[in-house]
Amino acid sequence: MNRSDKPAGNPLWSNVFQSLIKQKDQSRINQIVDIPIFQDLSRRELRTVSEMLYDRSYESGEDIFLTDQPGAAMFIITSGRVRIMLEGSGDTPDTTLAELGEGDFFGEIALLDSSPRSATARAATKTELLAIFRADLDKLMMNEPYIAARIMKQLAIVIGMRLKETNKQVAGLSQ
Amino acid sequence: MIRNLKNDPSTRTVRSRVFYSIAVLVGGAAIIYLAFALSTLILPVLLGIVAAYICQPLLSLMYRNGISRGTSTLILFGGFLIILLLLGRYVIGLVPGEFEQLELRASIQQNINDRYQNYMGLDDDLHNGNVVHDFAGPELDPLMDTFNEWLFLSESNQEKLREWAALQDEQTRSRIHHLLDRMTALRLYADPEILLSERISFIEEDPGEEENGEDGSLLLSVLNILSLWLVMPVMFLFFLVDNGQMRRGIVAIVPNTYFEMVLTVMENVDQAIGNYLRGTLIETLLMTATIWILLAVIGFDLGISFILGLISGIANAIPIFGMFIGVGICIIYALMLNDVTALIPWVTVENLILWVVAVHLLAQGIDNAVFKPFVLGKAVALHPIVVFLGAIVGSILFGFAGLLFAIPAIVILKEITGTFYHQLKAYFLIY
Repeated sequence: MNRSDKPAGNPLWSNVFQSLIKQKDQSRINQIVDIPIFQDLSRRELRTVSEMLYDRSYESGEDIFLTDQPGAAMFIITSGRVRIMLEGSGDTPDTTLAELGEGDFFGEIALLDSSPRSATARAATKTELLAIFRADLDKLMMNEPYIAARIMKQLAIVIGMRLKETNKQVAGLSQ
Repeated sequence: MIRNLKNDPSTRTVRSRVFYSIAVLVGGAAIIYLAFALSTLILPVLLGIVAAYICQPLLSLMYRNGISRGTSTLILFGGFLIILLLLGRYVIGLVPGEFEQLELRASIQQNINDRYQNYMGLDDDLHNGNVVHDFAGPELDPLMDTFNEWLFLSESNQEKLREWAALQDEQTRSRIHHLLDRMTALRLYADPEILLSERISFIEEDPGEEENGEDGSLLLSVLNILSLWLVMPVMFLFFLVDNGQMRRGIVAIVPNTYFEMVLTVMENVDQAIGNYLRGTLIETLLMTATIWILLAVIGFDLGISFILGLISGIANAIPIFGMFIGVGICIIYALMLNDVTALIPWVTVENLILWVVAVHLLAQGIDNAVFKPFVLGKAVALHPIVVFLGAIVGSILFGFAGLLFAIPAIVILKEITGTFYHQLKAYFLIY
């Protein structure tokens, strides 16, 4: 039985709001527990990370960020779909690079620096996201270096894998 | 119908804009109204917030060293309360009682007149003076008369002081009688033939009301002030406990288009304000120590020097006007002294005011040459005219709190608008 399943005790005195907050915490932890960059973290550490997350809700077709905008946050999809694309100009149509779904994340380079976004992210359906802000991760490095180090290590692995995948695609195009 | 509304992005955008504009206008108006309606709370609230802001790095440091956030918060809150209590107790101990205040007023008046007559080389009849008096007397004499009128004790206060003196030892009794005799013998500098007491028409206080004031309203007003200042530790605790919830709350209502931009602006502003406040605190502490030591060197009591140094150090945070506040308070204290034993042989009671001014000028020199460049850097790169007008407008709108916080408020506003402008451009929201 996890904490949220425990009986509430005396209903007259039980703190309704506290219980709601705990439920929300649990649901957030469940949302991020399978995200690759958080996979090395314990439940307690995941709770710390979950406190840093921002809930965002996007309508279908709404831009999450645009190419060349400075990046400040990474996004995790909790529901819906997001299209990563290069916007066309004039007669050139938009090029979809990837379509991501629940559990996927994007914009991770923004956790390292504020360099411009290399593509546009647009909600393909009504989408719920969790955002993690670079400055919060920097503070985590100061206050909880063990948690931050494990996140950064996983982040490096994911970025490396995506780079390899891109290299393969470039090699495929050149042949 | 609902479906149409939901799927029509253009009308939804218009509605959103109208909603957010009205929310910002109503919210802004409410904040301005509350700021004026609760202006007495501004100083304790802001000081509590500033103290919490300054303590945030300490909280992080304790947390990094294995102390839980809750324990760190309790330790800092406890420390804050202890400092407030000790400081309050010390300051209350320095505040003179009712009769001591009356004696002090008479004593200050005597000392000021003695020194004025000495500097101006005035004879006993106040008719002839030295060159300085010939030059500045026509301007300064009426000023001194106004000052004397202001310090002059009413008949009832004189009587009260005589009654109190009758219960004291012989030395105190004779000192007070001497002071009161000299006060009643004071003549106008502008017209030495007229006694000051003849010029003054006092509105005698209603004795019943005065008695009430001693027993009831004074206590009530002290309690009122205390209850107002209780807000300060509450605000301190409230902001210390906050672990980003407030920021999360603000960001939650920000439209998606501005999400990342607002996060970046808040972070940059947070860092700039933190650096500015911590820099100002260090500068204040350094100035307190400098003025404390220098005042002690020219013969001020060590404890009093500390309090005067602290007041001058805090006042120094107010550009331009701050130094005058510090100098003014130190001069008032210097005027109360009848004797001085300084480490420097040339300091006497007669020239003590000049030494006080010299101390503050030296401290200002050190502050501008050493403290400010190293501690604050270019954090407060404001044009002097902005500083001047800001301090005046702040003091007109919110009194002393406005004077003290006008410049930090301008620095914060400048940082917010500057960062917002750059970020709006970076996110392609404006050209």
